Amino acid sequence: MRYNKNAQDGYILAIGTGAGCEEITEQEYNAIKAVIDARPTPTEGYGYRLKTDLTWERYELPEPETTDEDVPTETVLAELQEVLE
Amino acid sequence: MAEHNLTELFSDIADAIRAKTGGTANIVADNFPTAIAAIPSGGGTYQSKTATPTASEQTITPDTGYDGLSAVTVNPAPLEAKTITPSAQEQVVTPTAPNIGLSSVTVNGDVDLIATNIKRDVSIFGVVGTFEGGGTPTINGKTYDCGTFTPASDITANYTVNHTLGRTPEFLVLWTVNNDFAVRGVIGKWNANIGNVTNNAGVIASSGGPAAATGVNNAIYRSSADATTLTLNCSATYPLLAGVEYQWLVI
Repeated sequence: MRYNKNAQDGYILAIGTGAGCEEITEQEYNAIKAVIDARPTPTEGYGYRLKTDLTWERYELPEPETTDEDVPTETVLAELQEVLE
Repeated sequence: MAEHNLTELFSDIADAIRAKTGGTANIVADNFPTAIAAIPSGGGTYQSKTATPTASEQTITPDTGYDGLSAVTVNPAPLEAKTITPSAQEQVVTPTAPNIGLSSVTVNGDVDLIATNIKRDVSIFGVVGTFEGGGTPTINGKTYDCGTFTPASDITANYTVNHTLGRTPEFLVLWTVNNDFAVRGVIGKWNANIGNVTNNAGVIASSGGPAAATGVNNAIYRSSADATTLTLNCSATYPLLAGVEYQWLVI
């Protein structure tokens, strides 16, 4: 299996398997996965992002935006309910 | 001839005797006759010989009737050039008799010895393979590619995943298995609602800008793909969640 790491600008966005991104060893994958699994719990309005040195950096979360394309969950669920009925 | 006084003359005679005998001791002038008489007069019979190196030590001596060797000619050592082809077993390269050594050893190469021709993680002569699978995997006769990704932190902007399909997928799907939340999904005209079932799998994105929802944050991702990538149009409202293993398939 091919393991990969998606790192940009000093931060690890994600790790994964399959094609693409920077190939890493299974050992490195497991090491990063263990760090992600042990990520700190952020306070409201903040998140933690993982730096490439495997340390966490707190940052302010962006404000959620509502666009015309967004479909409220309630609408989706209502449509679902109609179909199911 | 240079002029000598008597002392210099005796000294030169003594030097000449010592040069012939190899001696170093002083010689008094009264002993000059005896010392000169003892110098070998030469005239022996000497032999010239030729030898060829072998694997064993050889002592070169004159044949019977000779007083010594006037010269020894040593032929070039018989060396052999050999070529070998690597195999699964260790090979020891030795010269074939009567050669006593190897002038060179050529190890054949093979242009096919490259990582992409070797099964992933198998090492052949130091080349670690990257090839996966035997033959091209298919589903219903169609090639596919798949993988996973786990965000380190919430991803709030479009996220792109590479695939190796080499063509725009006919269909893509993103799903997850997670113990913490249930998944509700709608794909095209088909509907699924497994919202009350935890620890279950659910489709959260599919081709054509799907409606799909997760119980934890009601995330909805619109997706698109081309010949090499698939893109999940997530946002701060609908992020990809940190620590969740997302699984994808393109076909």
